[in-house]
Amino acid sequence: MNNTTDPRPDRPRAGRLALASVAAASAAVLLLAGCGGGADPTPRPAASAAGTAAASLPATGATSLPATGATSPPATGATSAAAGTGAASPPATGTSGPSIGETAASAGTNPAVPAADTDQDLADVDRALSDLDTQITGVDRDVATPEGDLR
Amino acid sequence: MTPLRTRLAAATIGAGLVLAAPAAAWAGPLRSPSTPQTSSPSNASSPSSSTLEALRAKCLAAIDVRLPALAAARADVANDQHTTAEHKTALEADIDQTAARLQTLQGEIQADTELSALRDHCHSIFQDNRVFALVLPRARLVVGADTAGFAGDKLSDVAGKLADAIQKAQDAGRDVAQAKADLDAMKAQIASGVAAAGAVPGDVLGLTPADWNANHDVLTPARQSLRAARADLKVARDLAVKIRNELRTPTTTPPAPSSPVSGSPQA
Repeated sequence: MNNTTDPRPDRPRAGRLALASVAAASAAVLLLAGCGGGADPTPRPAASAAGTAAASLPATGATSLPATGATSPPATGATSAAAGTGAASPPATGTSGPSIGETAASAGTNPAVPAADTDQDLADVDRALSDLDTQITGVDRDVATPEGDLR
Repeated sequence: MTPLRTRLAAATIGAGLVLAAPAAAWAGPLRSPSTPQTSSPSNASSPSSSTLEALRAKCLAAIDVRLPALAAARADVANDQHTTAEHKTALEADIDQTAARLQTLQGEIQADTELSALRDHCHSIFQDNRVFALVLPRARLVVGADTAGFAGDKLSDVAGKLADAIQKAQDAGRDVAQAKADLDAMKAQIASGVAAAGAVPGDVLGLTPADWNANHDVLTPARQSLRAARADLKVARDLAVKIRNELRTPTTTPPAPSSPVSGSPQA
């Protein structure tokens, strides 16, 4: 009458099989849940993907256009820094001429020495010439970049 | 079914569930992002449609590169302290008009359903704008020319101060022949550099994309002028420093700059 004490040998085997099946199914469900349903974590529409890539470029946009063969100047970054932002640029002009700093140290040793603000004027000139170098370099880079077109 | 077969069958089913479920879960949703969201009304299943979409993506990418470059150039022009107001206005207008054309093309390209129309719009990105070939280098050339003009003005100020100093030295009985000759040379270099740079804006501001299409070297004379201006101004700058050194040399000191005369700061 009492099934739990039934001595038949098939019942425990059937129970073990059922438990094994349940365990396997549970493992599958857990794996499925752990994978997040397979959702793409970063869905990227084609159009916005291109925009994101462009936005991550340096100011002048350094990337290549495989289809058109056009590349933008790198770092305009540099590039981009390029056009006219030379306020913080170093005063070095790249010339082999005498240093302003050396001569400034001797000011006041001779009555014919020009006014002290000449130093500032020459420092301004050096900065401007450095900015000019930056612009010329940027132009060279721009025009060396294939404009590209469709083929 | 024997107990052994039953166990094997259960184990196979369990293993199959474990392996197949994640694979099936990943395989499904990854299909959706591969569908381009470029607002294409066409069916992406045919070969011609895939060509259309590929071209559309390339053209939109070309615009996406150019618009930020134009924005950066505009900001640089606006923030530059040496560029004249007149040139800023002209450059900003040029950049704004180019950006507006590209934005219009962007919308047209996104809406194109015919390959021929798409091709025309894509060609227009390059043929009618010439961002990298003309617009951006032109802005740099004009900014550079005005920067050279600023440097020339500063050097002229320095030349005036040096002229006063030379006069004082002459009044004090010093030999200033070399300093005077150097000052004359400096002034000539300034004049040459300023003239070379001053011609650049007028040479390039009126150029159009059609001009560049007809002659890819249309910017070359302006580039050469700006290089010449830079060379002249650097020579002038070096002459200014040389004159200063000449004037600071004590009258009893021989002209050789390496002479270890006592008190000479140039030693």
